[in-house]
Amino acid sequence: MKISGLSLDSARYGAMRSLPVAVSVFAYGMVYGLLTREADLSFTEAVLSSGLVFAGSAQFVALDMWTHPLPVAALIFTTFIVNLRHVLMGASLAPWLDPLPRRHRWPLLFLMADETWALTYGAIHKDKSDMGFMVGAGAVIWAAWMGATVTGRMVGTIIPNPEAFGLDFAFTAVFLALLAGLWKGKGDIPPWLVAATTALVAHHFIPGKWYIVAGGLAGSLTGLWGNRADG
Amino acid sequence: MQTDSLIAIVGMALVTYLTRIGGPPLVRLVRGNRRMEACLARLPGSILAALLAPLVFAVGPAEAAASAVTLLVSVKFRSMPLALVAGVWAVVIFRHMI
Repeated sequence: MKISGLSLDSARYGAMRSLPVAVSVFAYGMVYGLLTREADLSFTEAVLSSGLVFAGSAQFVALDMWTHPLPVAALIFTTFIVNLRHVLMGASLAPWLDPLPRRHRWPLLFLMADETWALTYGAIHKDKSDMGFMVGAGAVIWAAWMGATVTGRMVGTIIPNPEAFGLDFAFTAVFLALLAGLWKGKGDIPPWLVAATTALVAHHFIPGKWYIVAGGLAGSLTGLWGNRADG
Repeated sequence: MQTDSLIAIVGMALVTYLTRIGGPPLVRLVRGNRRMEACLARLPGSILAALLAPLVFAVGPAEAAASAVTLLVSVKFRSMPLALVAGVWAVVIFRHMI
């Protein structure tokens, strides 16, 4: 059974569940805000980047490329490549997104960042909530990222160091807990193993975030073999 | 704010949004194909495993050890917040030890 819809209860649950992650997002947003100053972005440019692009890894990469005259085409193309992993994440949520009317689905997907996707999928595939989860989780993560960008930009002189508090590991811990929650049995071993191995190799040889796309695709393609027996 | 900055940021926002809404239409193309649906069922775990692999195995021994602690806690207690706290504590301790 799949629950479809956007309930307020789920939104509240999503907001609560994402609070611990929001702390880490805030720490990294502060670092981003601080670095925008060094990269010569204006205050408006920094705020617009976090508010509209709302994709941490792409924004950090863009900072490196932010030299005038701006390589506009390269910035846009690089951002697209870095964010291609969202296509796979959105695909995995399709069973719950498709029943929603477009006027809800399209604004909702604006909020889908890595952490929001992972938390939402973790709750929704167990029927613990509906897509309202993403509204709550997405809003909290977006607010944390925006608030932190502004804060980091204003505070400026204090250099926050997320690593000192182990906050950089928070993302890893959350993703690990969610992966443990996805475990259904031995059948999960081949796709996860193929995905992880492919990702490690890709991570080693290809710069950027291609390893997520490569590993995710490779792992899911094991479905071509596994299902022959019952097909 | 200069025009080229505005074009760059709006362009970046637009292509990012395209990646966010692009998944569901792609799924519609393969609907009804049993093999492709078997693949889709394996997609979420595969994305997470791919995302995690370098974070767990390619950062350092402290991170790898803390990952083991996190996994143990999440399997034993089935609580994400608890696993998060345990993992963060573990990584701080292991970084001091190793």
